[in-house]
Amino acid sequence: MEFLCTAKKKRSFRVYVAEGAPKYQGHCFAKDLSEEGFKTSLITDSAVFAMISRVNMVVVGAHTVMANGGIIGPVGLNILALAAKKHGVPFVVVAATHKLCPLYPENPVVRLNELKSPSDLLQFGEFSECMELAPDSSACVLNVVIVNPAFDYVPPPQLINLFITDIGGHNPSFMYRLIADYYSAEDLIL
Amino acid sequence: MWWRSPSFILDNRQQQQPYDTARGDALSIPLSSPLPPSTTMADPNPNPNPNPLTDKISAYYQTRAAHHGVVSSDWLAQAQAAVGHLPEGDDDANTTDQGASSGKPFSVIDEFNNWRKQPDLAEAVAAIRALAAVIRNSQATTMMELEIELKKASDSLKSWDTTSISLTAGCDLFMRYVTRTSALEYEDFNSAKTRLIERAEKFGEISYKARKIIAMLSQDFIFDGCTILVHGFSRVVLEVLKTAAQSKKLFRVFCTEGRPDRTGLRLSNELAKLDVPVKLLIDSAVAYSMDEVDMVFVGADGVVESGGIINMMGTYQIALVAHSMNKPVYVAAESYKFARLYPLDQKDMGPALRPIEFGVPIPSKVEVETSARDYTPPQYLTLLFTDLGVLTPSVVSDELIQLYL
Repeated sequence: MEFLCTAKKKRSFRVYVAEGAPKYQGHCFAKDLSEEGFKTSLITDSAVFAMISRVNMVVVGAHTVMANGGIIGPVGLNILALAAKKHGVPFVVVAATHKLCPLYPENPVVRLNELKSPSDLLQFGEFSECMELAPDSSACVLNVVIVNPAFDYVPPPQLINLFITDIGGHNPSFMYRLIADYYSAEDLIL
Repeated sequence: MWWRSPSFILDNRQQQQPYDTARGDALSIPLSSPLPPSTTMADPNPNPNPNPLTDKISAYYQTRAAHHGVVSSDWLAQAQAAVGHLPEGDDDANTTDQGASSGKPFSVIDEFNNWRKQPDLAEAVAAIRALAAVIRNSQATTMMELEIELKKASDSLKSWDTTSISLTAGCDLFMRYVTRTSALEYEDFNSAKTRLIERAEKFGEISYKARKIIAMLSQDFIFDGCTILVHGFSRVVLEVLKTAAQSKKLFRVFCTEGRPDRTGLRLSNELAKLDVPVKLLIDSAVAYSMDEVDMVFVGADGVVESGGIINMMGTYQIALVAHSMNKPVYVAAESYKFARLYPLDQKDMGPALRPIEFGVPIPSKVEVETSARDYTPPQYLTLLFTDLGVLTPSVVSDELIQLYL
């Protein structure tokens, strides 16, 4: 947000915001941006691939930056990165150095992800329509399994083009250096 | 030294000419090296190919085949003979220790060979121990003389087998580690020598323990229910898998057959002993089974400056397939294998050849590609596990600079 505001002082540009289901935080973000005076457009997550050819650059924040230069971010980031790669759009990650993590993503789907409550997707009232009573017991069985991962892993180096940190812009392969600077060697060997 | 030309016709004409000069080539490995011939050489070579390059058979790969070949009766007989040699070797070292002027002069090659015969010891570690022994047995009285002796010993070890990268790299690193110390400023030569010996032993210990460190680092990457594809018989990878099996992780392993060394058979023997479910694949079946695989694990004969690795023939192929199917390729290599090489393509390294037998006689006009190793560029590798830590390929050149400076 700050990044875009500072950039606005020198350049004029449009901003496309993906809505970010299931929390729909994109809605709030778009509202804030338009209050600041940006020309904002709100799109659904599924429209990312369709709109990617109209953008010149993708800017995202990250939850953490891993030791190999990959990032963990809100779910849907991987789709965005793949779309950007496919259309040759630079994918820029804005992350401060306090987000650096010395771990390597071993099995990102399992280890580094949190599954959140399915109530984000489906109202509890609607649950009752999906459930059916098992014939020989009084328990309710859910017909539909709801998976709601909170985070997404974007692997470098093909997908991420640039990292902007508080100490300058870097290559993803340079991240390990920053980690070596900020973490002592004992932290790195687990 | 490598040669390639765009036309294989020119190649053939050139082959006729250097046939005579190759005999006198300083690079050709003397066939009288004190080495029990591998099982493949024990069979009469059915391939009567008058290829002059068969002179340059890589002794490094002969050793590996000797260590890792499947046990056959020929091999057993040779092993008995080798064991008969060993006590004599120890006696030699003892007599020279006592500084007896009688008896043959201390030969670093002999010492190296003694160490090398143990199948558990990596070649570079054997070289390091041999060089440490050189310091111990040296008759030099000044630091300069000792350094010159060490340099000479290191050069003779390197020239014994020019194709082994880990040997060259190990010797170089040893020289730097040992001689780059301010302890050489002692007035008393003997205490300086003791200090050198201490550092040499320490380096040997570090290299020896490197495997355990690597095994520990890679444990996180093996999760329950994963399928690992392994190529080539790397003792480091075996240690990794052993540690994982001992911590009761559930995983299964696909082994490639690894012609012509039969490394897959040997590895599957070892894994079966650990009760790890193993499946053997022929080398051509790798792409077929790649979708079931979660990760690829290989060792390395050498790690080069670009971050790529030099490993047994077939590694490049597997890395390409894994990369195209988005499977991670993990390399386990000790730090003494980091070499100051930068191959630009497959033929850029010196040739290392292995005789390949097909079991049936081949007409003499048919050539056989006998190279034993290939180069895998860094973009196909995901991570390297070394005793310096877990590294991405782009970090390797940084680490190399730190090691060699």
